[in-house]
Amino acid sequence: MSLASACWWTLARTILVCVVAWPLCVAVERWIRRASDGWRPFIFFLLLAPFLFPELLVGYSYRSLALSSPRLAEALCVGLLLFRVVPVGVITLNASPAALASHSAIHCRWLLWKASQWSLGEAWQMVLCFWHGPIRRALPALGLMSLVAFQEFELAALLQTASWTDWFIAAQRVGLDRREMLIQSAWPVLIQLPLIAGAIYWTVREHDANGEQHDDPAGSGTFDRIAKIYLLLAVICGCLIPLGFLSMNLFSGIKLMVSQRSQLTGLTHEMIIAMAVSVCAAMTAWCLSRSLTSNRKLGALQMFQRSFLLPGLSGSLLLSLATGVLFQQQWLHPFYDTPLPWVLALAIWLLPRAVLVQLWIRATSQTEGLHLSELLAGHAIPGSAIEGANATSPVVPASRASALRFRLRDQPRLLAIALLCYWAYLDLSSAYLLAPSGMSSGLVRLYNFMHFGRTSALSAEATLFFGFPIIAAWLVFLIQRTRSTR
Amino acid sequence: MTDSATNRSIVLIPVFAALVLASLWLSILPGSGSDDKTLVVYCAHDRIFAEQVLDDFFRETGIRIQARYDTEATKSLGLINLIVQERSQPRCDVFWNNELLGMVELQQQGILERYQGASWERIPERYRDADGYWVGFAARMRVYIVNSHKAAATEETLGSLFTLEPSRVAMAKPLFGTTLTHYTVLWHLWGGDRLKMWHRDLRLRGLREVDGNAAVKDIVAQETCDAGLTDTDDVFVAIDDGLPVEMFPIRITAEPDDNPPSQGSSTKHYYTICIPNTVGIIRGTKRLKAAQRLADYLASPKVEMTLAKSKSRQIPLGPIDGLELPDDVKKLVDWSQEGIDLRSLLPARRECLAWLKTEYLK
Repeated sequence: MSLASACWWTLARTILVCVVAWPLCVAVERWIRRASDGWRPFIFFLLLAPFLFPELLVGYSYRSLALSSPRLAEALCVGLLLFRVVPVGVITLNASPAALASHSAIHCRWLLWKASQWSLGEAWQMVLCFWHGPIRRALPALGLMSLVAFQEFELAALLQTASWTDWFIAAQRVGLDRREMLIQSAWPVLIQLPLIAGAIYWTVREHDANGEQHDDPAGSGTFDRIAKIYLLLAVICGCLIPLGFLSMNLFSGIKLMVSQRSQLTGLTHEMIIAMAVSVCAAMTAWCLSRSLTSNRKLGALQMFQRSFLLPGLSGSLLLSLATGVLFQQQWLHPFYDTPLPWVLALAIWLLPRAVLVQLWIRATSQTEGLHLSELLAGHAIPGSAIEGANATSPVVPASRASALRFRLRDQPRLLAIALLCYWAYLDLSSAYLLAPSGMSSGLVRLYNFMHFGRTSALSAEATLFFGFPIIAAWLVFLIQRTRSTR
Repeated sequence: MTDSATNRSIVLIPVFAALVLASLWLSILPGSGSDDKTLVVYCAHDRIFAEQVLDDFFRETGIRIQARYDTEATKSLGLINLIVQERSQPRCDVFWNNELLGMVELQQQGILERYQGASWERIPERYRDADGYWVGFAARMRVYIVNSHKAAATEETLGSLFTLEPSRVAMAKPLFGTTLTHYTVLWHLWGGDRLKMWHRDLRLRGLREVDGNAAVKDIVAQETCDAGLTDTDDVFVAIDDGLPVEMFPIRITAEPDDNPPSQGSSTKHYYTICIPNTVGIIRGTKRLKAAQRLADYLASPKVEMTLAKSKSRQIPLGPIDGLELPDDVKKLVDWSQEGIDLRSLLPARRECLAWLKTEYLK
C-alpha cells in the first residue's frame, strides 16, 4: 500500500471512530457531571482505565483473533481505538468551559427563527448560535480525539491493519533516503496540520475565554444507559480481557523468570532505565507546560511559545524518526548515542499532553477551597472563624489543614506528573528508535517477545514491567501524603 | 508538608532520575581508547537465544556486551541500515546478523574489517567470505509449514494450494528478513519477470501477507490458513507448543516447475534455502581484539552446538560431534546439503529489493 493510500485509510478510520465516539463522549460526560461527588472519581477511574492500559498488551491479546481475518482485524482496531478515544473526548469536554451560547439561548433563537419569515440573515444568526454553542465546545475534543486515532501505532501494528505509521516503520527499515522520507512525511503532517492547529488554538482559546458555568444537564435515562453500557464494555474489552490473557500461566511464568536470573536482571536494568528516562522527560514537559499555560504573557509571545506544541502533536513516531535524523547530523553527533535524544523527543511529545493536563487541573480545581486550606495550614485557627461555621466548631489542627491542602493542590499535581511518566514509560516508538546501545527499554524486549508466543514468561515479564512503576508511583504518593499530614 | 518541601520533592525526584540515568549511561559507556572490556554488538538474531550466548561469552571472557536488538517484524534490515548510516562514526563493534546477504552488502560497502580467525578456518567455504570479512554459523532453513489437520505435508498439496487456493497460504512481507532472502533466490533462479508475475498473481488471488515469519506460524497453527512459508525456528516453536503443524523444505529450481521434486522423475536440480547467521567486525572499531574474540566465539563449535540444542534448532555448519545433535537437527542437516550458495546473490538482492520497494512503498 502506498503512503497516500495508507494515510487516507487511516483518516477514514479516524473519522469513523470519531463519529461513533462523539455521542458516547457526550453521554458519558453528561453522566459524570450529574454524578454525585462520591461516585465521580470512580467513574473517572473506569473511564480512564482503558486509555491508560498498555496498548501493547491490548494489541497482543487480540492479535490471534485479528489474524483470522483482515476485516475482523480492522473491526477490532476500530473498536479498541474507540475505547482510547472516548476518554480523551470526555476529559476535554469536561475541562472546557461552558459554551458562550447556552442551550436555552439556542432554543430561544430557534423559536424566534420559526416565528419570523425565512431570511438569509436569520439563518446565519442561527448558524452563529450553534457555532458559539455546541460546535465551538466540541472542536477541541474532536481535534484531540482525531489526533489520538490518527496517530495510533502499536495497536495497528500488532493487529496488522493498514496504517501510515506502519508505512514509515517499513520505509525506515528498508533504508529509504532521508530526503525522500522528509518529503513523504508531508502527507501525514498535512493531514494532521488542521487538527493540530485547531486543537492548539481551540484548547487554549476556549480555556482563556471564559469561566462560565456549564448548563446543568437535564437527566436522561437513555443517555445514562448508553454511558453505563459503554463503560462496562470498555473496561471488559480494554482491560479485563487483556488482564485475563496476561494472568494465564502467570505463576509458571514467575517461576521460569526466577530461574532465568539473567533475564530477570536484564529486565530490571531496562525498567530502571525506562523509569529514569520517563521521569526526566515528564518533569521537563511539566515545567515547560507551566510556562506555556501561564496567562501573563503577551499575545504574540504566547502564540510563539504555544507553537512549541506542534512537534509533539505530530506524534511519537514521526518525532522520534526526525530526532534520530537530527542527532545524526555532524554538529549533534556527539550526543547521538546518549540518552539525550530519547529524553528530548519524549519531553516534546509529552508537552501537549502536559498542557492539557494542566488545563484540566485548573478547570477542575477548587480555588476557594485551596485558598482556605492554605490559610488554615498557615495558622491553626478556630473553626468558628470560618464564615458559615458553627460558633462552637473546634480548632482546626494544622495537620488536617495540610492534609486538605495536599488533597486539593499537591495530589492533582503528583497524579498528573505520574500520568506523564507513565505515558513516557509506555512509548514504544521513541524507546525503539532512540535508546542508546546497551540502554534499551524493557518495552522493546516485550514487543520482541510477543512474536514468539512465550505466554508464561511473557506474562511474568509484562506484569513486572507494567506493574512495578505503578507500585513505585503509589509508594511515592503515600510517602508524600504521610509527610504532608505531619 | 510545607510548600518548600513539596517543591523540593518535585525538584529532587527528576534530579535523582537524571543522576541515575547519567550514571547508567556512564557505566555502559565503552572506553574511548582501546579498552577491550566492553563491546557494542548489533544483533539481528532472536533475542531469546542470542542473550544467553552473549551472557556466556561475558562469563568466559569478562568482556561485557552492550547489545542492540532489532524487532522480529523488521529483522536485520533495520540494523544494516543503521550501521550504514553510522559508518562515519561507528558505534557498533560487531554485527551478528541472522542472514547472509545483508552482511555481503556491508562488505561491498567497505564497512567490515577482515579477520580470518580459528572459527573462520572451521566453517565450510560456501558459508564464509573468502577474504575473511564475515563468517557464517548456525543456520536455519526456509520451509513450508502445513497444518496437519487441514492438509498433507507434501509438495503436491502445496502445489495445488498455490495454484487453486492461494488465499489459504500465508507468507511474510518479503521486504525484510529471510523472506527477502527467499525472494532473492527466486529472483536469481527464475529471473525478475517470472518472480514479479508469480508474486502479483498470488497477491491478486488473495495470498495472506503478514508482518513476520512468527505470524505465518501463528496463522497456520490456528487454522486460518492451511500452509505458509516460514523458517525452521518458527515451526519448532509451534511444534514445542504441541500445535498441529508439520514442515518440509522449500525446494526451488530454475526451470519451469512441472513436476515436484518428490516425484523422482525430474532431472532438474533443486535447491533448498539454508540461511546462516553471520558475524562481521565493523571497520574502525577501537576494540579489535575483543571483537575478534567474539567473532571466534560465535562461530565456534560450542555456540553452534548451543544453538542446535536451543529451541530454535539451528543447523551447525562446521564440523561437530554428530552424536550429540538432536534428531530434529540431524534431519535439517540433510536438507541443508542441497542449499544454494548465497554469496553471489547480492546483485539479485539489490534488484529484488528495489522492485519490492516499488511494490510496497510507492
